[in-house]
Amino acid sequence: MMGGYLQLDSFWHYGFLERALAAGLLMSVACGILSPFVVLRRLSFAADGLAHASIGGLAVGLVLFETGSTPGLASYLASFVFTCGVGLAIAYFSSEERLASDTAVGACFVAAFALGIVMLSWRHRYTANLEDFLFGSILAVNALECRLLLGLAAVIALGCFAGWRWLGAWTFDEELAQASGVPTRLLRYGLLLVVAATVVLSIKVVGALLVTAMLILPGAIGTLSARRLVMIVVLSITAAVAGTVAGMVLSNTTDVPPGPGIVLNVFLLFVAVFFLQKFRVHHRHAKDERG
Amino acid sequence: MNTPAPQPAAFPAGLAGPPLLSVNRVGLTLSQRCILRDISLELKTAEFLGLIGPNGGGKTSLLRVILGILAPTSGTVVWHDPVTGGKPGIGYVPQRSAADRNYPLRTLEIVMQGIQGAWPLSGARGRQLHEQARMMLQRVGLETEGDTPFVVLSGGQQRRALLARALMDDPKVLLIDEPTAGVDAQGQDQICSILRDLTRQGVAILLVSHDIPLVKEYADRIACLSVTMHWHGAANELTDEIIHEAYRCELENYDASTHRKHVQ
Repeated sequence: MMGGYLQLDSFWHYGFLERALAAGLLMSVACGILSPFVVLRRLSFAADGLAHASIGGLAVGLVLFETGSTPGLASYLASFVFTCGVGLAIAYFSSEERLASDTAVGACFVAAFALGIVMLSWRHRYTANLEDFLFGSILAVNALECRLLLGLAAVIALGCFAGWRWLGAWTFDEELAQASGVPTRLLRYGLLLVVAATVVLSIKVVGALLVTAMLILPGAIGTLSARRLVMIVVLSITAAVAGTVAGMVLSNTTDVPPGPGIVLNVFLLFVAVFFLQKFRVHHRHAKDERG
Repeated sequence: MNTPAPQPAAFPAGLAGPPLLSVNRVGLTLSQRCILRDISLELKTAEFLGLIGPNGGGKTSLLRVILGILAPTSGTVVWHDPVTGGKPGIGYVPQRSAADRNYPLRTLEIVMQGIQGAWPLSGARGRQLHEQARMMLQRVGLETEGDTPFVVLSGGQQRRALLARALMDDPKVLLIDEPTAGVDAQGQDQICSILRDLTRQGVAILLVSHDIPLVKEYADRIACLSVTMHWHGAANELTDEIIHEAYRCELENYDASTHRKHVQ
């Protein structure tokens, strides 16, 4: 009965809904694994900057490589290269001692975002709704995008497993990790590249303006709830997947757009966990005082 | 899977072995400021080398150059592991942790990060290292703090936890920066006892400290750094005049037995 009300069967009756659900789940797994490391390394603003920069990259790809209004593989590659370039520019400007890293991020991403809007305005043949890039159009996800998301999630999962202890040491203290033989520069640029790929491929699912939430909120939920890195990552993935499924079900049964619906559900989870932790701490203090 | 390196035969106290580390005419300039100039020193197996000097003298910077965190402007740092010929296992205890105040991981996890390598630890090996980490915490007097978030510990407790972390992988060389700063008397005794045991096991120690009586009591040799190498020699050859020249002030009435000093 609940399944009928939530129209869950429709996900398996319609191909586009099936692909949308698959894309959402794959995106949430990828973001769920990445998010704790973005949060612990304080890269939330940099991730937001790359998300905005990816709009510029997609526009470059559309203008240079596509005749229609639907980005193909070439556009995604162009956006990935462009976004990585912005990331490298951020890293370069941040290395200047007199420039704070958040200033470098802010300077680079607004320029990239503005370039994207300008290039999109040059395409007189472009008829697609700009809102699709900003807020996602998960129902229009195609098979190629699903395969790319599957590849991305697999690469992230394998990379996280293979470098698990390096990542743990790196999140704690970068210099101490470097002294212990951890290739911190590889991890820093590797995380940057993977975040760039994730934001580019997640544009269709939740949109460029909202993908940052999927790179921050699941990790925040994990770090609020656990003291072991493995549990933080598990909880982060769980929160991302749960929020995505809830958001898609909500969208399927109401008029809420799927991208914002997913983000709102993950945010509600974050608020619930935040106040649950506060209650637990308060309860523990009261118990300690009573003896 | 990490295989413990074969432990060298116990060295008699005060008898150092072949050189493990050679620092050759190292210089370092940062932001147009000379931090180190023409520094040369050697660290031998089972040797305890103390590094003292005034603030801004470059002691911590020299440690970071030796560890490869900072690239020297000139000169070289060469490691000679007698078994592998390359870089030996190194343990490092920084002056302070750079962990963010919101960092969530518990102390036991931080200590387990001392085991080098990338792959996750699981099964019997994981349980063995888990137990080893608990024993390390017990050794530094933090047996009840394994499940406490690291950032909640006091500064002195954090330093002891980082020492436990540095010792997890049985290092051949221990580089340690201000080990007793902010540590209570009991903690200082525990740390000094650990350092004494390590030298008996053949571990080379390079210790940076402002606690001159501590360094004189435990070190085999002492180097006094003030941008350049002001003085180096046997610990019992360090005189008040040498310290006065290096620190450019009068240091009187320091009591070696209580590790206190009073600066005039």
